[in-house]
Amino acid sequence: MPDFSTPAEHAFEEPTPDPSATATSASLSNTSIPLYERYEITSTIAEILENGYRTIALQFPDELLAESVLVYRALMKGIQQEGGEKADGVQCYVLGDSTYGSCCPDVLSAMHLPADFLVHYGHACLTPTASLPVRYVFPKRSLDVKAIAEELYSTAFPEGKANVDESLEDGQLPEDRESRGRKGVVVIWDVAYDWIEDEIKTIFSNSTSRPQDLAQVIFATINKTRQSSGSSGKVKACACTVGTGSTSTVTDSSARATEGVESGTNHGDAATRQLNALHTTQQPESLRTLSFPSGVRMLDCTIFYIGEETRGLINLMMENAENRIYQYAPEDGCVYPLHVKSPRLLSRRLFALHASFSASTYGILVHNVGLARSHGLVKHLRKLLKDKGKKSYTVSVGRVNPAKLANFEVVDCWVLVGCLEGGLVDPKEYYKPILTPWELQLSLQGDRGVWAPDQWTLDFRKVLADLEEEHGKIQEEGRVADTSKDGDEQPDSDEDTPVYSLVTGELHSVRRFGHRDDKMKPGEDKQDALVVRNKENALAQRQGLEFVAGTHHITCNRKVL
Amino acid sequence: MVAFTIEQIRDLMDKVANVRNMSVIAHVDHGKSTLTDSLVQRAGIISAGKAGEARFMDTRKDEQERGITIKSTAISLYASMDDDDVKEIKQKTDGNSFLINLIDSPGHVDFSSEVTAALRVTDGALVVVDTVEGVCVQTETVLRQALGERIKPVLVVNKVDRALLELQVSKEDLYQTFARTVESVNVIISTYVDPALGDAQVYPDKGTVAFGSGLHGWAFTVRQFALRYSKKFGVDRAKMMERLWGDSFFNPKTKKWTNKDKDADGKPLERAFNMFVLDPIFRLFAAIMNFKKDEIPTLLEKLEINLKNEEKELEGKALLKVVMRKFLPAADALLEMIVLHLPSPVTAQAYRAETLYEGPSDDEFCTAIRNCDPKADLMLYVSKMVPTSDKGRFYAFGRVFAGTVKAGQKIRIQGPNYTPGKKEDLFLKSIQRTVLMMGRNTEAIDDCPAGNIVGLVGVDQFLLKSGTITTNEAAHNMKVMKFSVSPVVEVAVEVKNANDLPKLVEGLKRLSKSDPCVKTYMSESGEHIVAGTGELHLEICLSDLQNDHAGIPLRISDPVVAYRETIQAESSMVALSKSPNKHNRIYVKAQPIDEEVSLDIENGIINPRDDFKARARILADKHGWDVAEARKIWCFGPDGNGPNLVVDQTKAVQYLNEIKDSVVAAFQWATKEGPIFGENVRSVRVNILDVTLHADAIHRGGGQIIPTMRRVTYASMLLAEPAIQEPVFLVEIQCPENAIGGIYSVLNKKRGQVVSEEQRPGTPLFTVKAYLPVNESFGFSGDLRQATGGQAFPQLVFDHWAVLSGDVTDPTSKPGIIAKAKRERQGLKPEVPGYEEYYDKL
Repeated sequence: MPDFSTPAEHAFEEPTPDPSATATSASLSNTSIPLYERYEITSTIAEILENGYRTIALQFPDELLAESVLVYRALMKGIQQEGGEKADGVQCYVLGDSTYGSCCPDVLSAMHLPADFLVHYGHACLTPTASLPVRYVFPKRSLDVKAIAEELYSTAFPEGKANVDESLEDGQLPEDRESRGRKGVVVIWDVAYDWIEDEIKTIFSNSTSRPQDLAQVIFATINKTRQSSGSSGKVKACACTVGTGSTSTVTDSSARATEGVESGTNHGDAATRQLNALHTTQQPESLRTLSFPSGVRMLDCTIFYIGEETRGLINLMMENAENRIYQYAPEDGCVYPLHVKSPRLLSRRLFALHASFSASTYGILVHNVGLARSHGLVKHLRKLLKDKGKKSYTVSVGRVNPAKLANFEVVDCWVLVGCLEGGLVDPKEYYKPILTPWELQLSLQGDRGVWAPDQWTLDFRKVLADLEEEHGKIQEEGRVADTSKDGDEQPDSDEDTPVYSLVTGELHSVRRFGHRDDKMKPGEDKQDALVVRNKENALAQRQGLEFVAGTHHITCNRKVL
Repeated sequence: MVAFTIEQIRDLMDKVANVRNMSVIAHVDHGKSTLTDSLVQRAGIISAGKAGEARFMDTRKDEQERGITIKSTAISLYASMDDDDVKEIKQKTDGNSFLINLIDSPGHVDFSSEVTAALRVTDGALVVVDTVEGVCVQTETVLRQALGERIKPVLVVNKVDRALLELQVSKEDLYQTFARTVESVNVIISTYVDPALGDAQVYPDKGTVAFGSGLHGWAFTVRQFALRYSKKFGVDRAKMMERLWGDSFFNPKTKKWTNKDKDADGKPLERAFNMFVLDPIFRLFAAIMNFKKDEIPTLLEKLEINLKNEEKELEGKALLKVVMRKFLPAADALLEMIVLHLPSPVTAQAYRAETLYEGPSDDEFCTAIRNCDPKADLMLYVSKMVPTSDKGRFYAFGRVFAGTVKAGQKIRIQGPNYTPGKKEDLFLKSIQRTVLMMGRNTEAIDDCPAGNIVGLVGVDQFLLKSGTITTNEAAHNMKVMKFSVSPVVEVAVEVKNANDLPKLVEGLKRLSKSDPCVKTYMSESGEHIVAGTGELHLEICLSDLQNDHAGIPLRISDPVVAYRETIQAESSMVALSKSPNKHNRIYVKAQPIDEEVSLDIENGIINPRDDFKARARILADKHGWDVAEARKIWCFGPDGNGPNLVVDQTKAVQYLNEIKDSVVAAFQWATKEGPIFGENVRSVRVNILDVTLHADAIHRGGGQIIPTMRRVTYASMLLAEPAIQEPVFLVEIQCPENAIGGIYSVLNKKRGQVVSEEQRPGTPLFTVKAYLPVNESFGFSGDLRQATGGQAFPQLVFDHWAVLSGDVTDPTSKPGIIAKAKRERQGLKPEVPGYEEYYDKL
């Protein structure tokens, strides 16, 4: 199949940093640290043995593949030596080319083994994944924390004082961005500096240049407890969910279970309930956690970021566009104020949002199937699109590139369901707009939607909450529409009124699919909600196939009876 | 008291031969709205005392405050003529009542698009020219447009009172001034006239020129005086008219007419026009303004002017106004010209049909338009949107060219991108109401037959600015209007309060609807852009946006110029790009398009919607293209109609047609955002020399071809001496001699180039014409005012695109600096990329 997989040339063309370069800048190859320590081999072995994992997948990013054999040997040797009889049948595998970006654990490949444990080496985006316990081994880079702390503090607070404006009431934000975020400081670091977490914490808390009246210094700790063997409670919980769904993903199986129970109720309710179920799992959206003392919000803080500019940092800037953000880039050893750039980034998103207004066919682009919640989210997006009379296709293409997406001519707008770093791509090269799930639900709200830059998020949890609210509204509307329909035929509704697109400055007519038909017979779905569901899923698959055959004539609203 | 009822008007609408659709066009401040007042007054809509001051057609508050017209306004008037006059009408008529649909248009160059929209729905034009200032730049522009639309002009030489009172000219001087004005108007007409229109020149001795004063409310045509004197001399009126203009003299001694200005004894003779026409006027002026109380009553008696008792008490200018208005009422002269000499819709549509209709000129719809048939299928063109009192809603203002439009009628609304047989840009709706536009008011009518101007309620959501309304699905669109100005000045607007954003978006949509020419869009970097034709246009648009359409406070950036990207040579080598899967290759070369061709494309003479053979013929005959090549134009771009072309020059490539759609889509994209700094591309022709395609259809889909074609277009442009074009204004400045020095110094500072400088004969005024880059024009008026002590007022009108000399890739050159600034604003890499970025090695 053309362009559904990464072309073979990718391996040659991807600018793989050559090993000599990696030694200095990127990755784990900080040769000053011995291999065992660099790859946390001892503790990995301990974790494997303690939990009795038998098939272990080792995922390396391209630039570290060179050392994979050494790591593999070290691990196998260690397991044999220490495990005794426990080690019988324990086998490690090095995963080759990953299906998606190397920042996410490649759960899909691991499950082909099927592996019961995945060790992810190198840079990670820290998006939680489902269905498989994952251990992250981050790169380890060294840093002069003290100097950095001083520089960051002095740049952010040049007058040496936090100077909280007392005149403002609680919860009120000063107009001027420069005077915001004086209550506290949030320190976030790249995963490569996680190994010196303690050093960072102590130095930033006790730095001499820290303003005296700065109330709080909050650290974004990377949540390793879930992955590491140390506190086994949570890992066990994780492992046991895996137990129920050894062949399919957790969300999938639980979703099916829910559906089975609720086969009598209608569609929407099932979806909502399932949504709730997803909520109650209480997984954090990122493996980075911030705990704020009471009375302090993210908005009240200045953010310090230690690390190079990555997609992840850009997303952080956009999510916290109202905050002051200072980045320390170890490469050039400079501190940059980033918040000056964030409004511009957000307005580019606004452009994409506007470009989507005139879309009638959407493509839900699943960037990574292994992510926790992505499955549920995709379902809800599909439902939302259907409710709004839009046609949608679900597409999974692995690494996203313009050529792949341009193959789908019928799609007017893409929605990218991806990880924290791959959840957003630079739209410049793409032919059609690409939205995030949050932007999609905003775009579909039409007139009701209010572009609030400070709400922008990649957080699936928040999107799911918004979606839930939206589903409620749609049902309400449906009810109102139904009752009004009983009275008399609605006047020529404005459904086909063309949309004014700011992007082109012209009117565009937006096609709607199957909107009315669905409402006409609300009773009919009731009996066989289960059947409908399954058919829908089956339909989605068939669409994918027919796409390949190059026929674009399938309609989503095919009578599902 | 309104002198007519809506029923009367409605009845007249059916007698199409008695309808006159006309617009009033002129240079700014030549007195259109003031003159229109006298017509409105005659219809009884405003009182006589107010006429000349009310400017009834200036319906907006800012129009009244600033004293300029901004929007064109329509009004329907009822007029009845004497049987004698009706007999002289050369076209078919029916009775002696007439319906005049009049549109008053703005004169400022920035609002030329309003004029275009007005001209489309009218058949005749009343061209107003100031006696003192003469023919100005905008007079020429609007005349050119009118003639392009096949609209017949008549001329009013206005502000004669100024010449008499301020300049105190002699009779012969005044005659010469009139003659010159008429002549310069005729020069323009003969330059731009469409042969189908016949002789469109204006002749005072044929009654197509009037002289008068809108402010004082008087005007006359030679015909009116001929009428008076033909009885006295017992000469045929037509003959008399000829004698009253030109080199025709009357010898009072011999009572003989001659064409020599000396009698047998060598004594100078007085020109007939001066003697019979100007003399009474001059005497009246002299008597009244010099307070010669005793002379006045005899004069009045002689001229058969009866004053009311209270009017006899008046003195000076006030008396003059009353007397002149009674002596030579402006409305009489104007109505006479309009009714006698402007064509009725029946007459006009016969020759206008083919220029109005996009489809074949022999189909039933074009025939119906030609015959102005009220029983045929509806053909209606909406030329602009007029705001209603209901915020956000608009009347669709247009003209019925065939059929009859009724309230409740089911219609097809066809937007500008509609093509017959397709569903794109097409809406099936019904008309809620039809209304008659009466200045600031509207009157509901049940239906409106062909040949009339009408307002529609209930179609505004489906059209942005203009469109065609019909009842038959086989009908093509009416031709889209081409504006003489383009939106080259842009500002970015930003809401002060983030929550107002939806209001801004809605406001931008309304703004875009309410003005035929303004462009509102969002740049890729997420800025909201409003583009207008000039500083004044933008100022009006922005104040409308803030106060009316959006109703929210805005932050407005400094104006910037919309540039174009172009090339100056043929690509130095063949550009090649490979598709992402490496299985397809496109080889192209770019070459510049001649400016004339680009202009013809921009003016719609060479049109993507034309038959390819007809188009090739024009390109071959007029521009020297190879016919075979000209027939193989694949597409225009951007937006499917821009001045950039893709020409297929491949030989025997299999599957080539399958990739055409992808190539077209890619070219639109590439020309919309060029390689240099993401601006529109202009005057670039891309020749596809060869294409290698994968044998399997799935490997040469849009995903492979679109990015490749875009890349190769960029590569070929970057290989062909890329350059930036900037828009240039033509500036016309009228000023007294002592201000010229100041003008030159300001122009020099602003990269201006003086084209001409001439004195207007008979006046101390000089006219300076110069080219001024739009980029330098911001604040130009202010600087000029300062440098000349407020004596010079510039008129700036977009004239052409000029290449900015310098290498764009050199960041220190002028174009390099512009490109860098724009790239940085858009968040691109600051350097202009090299061709290597888009070029693939074989």
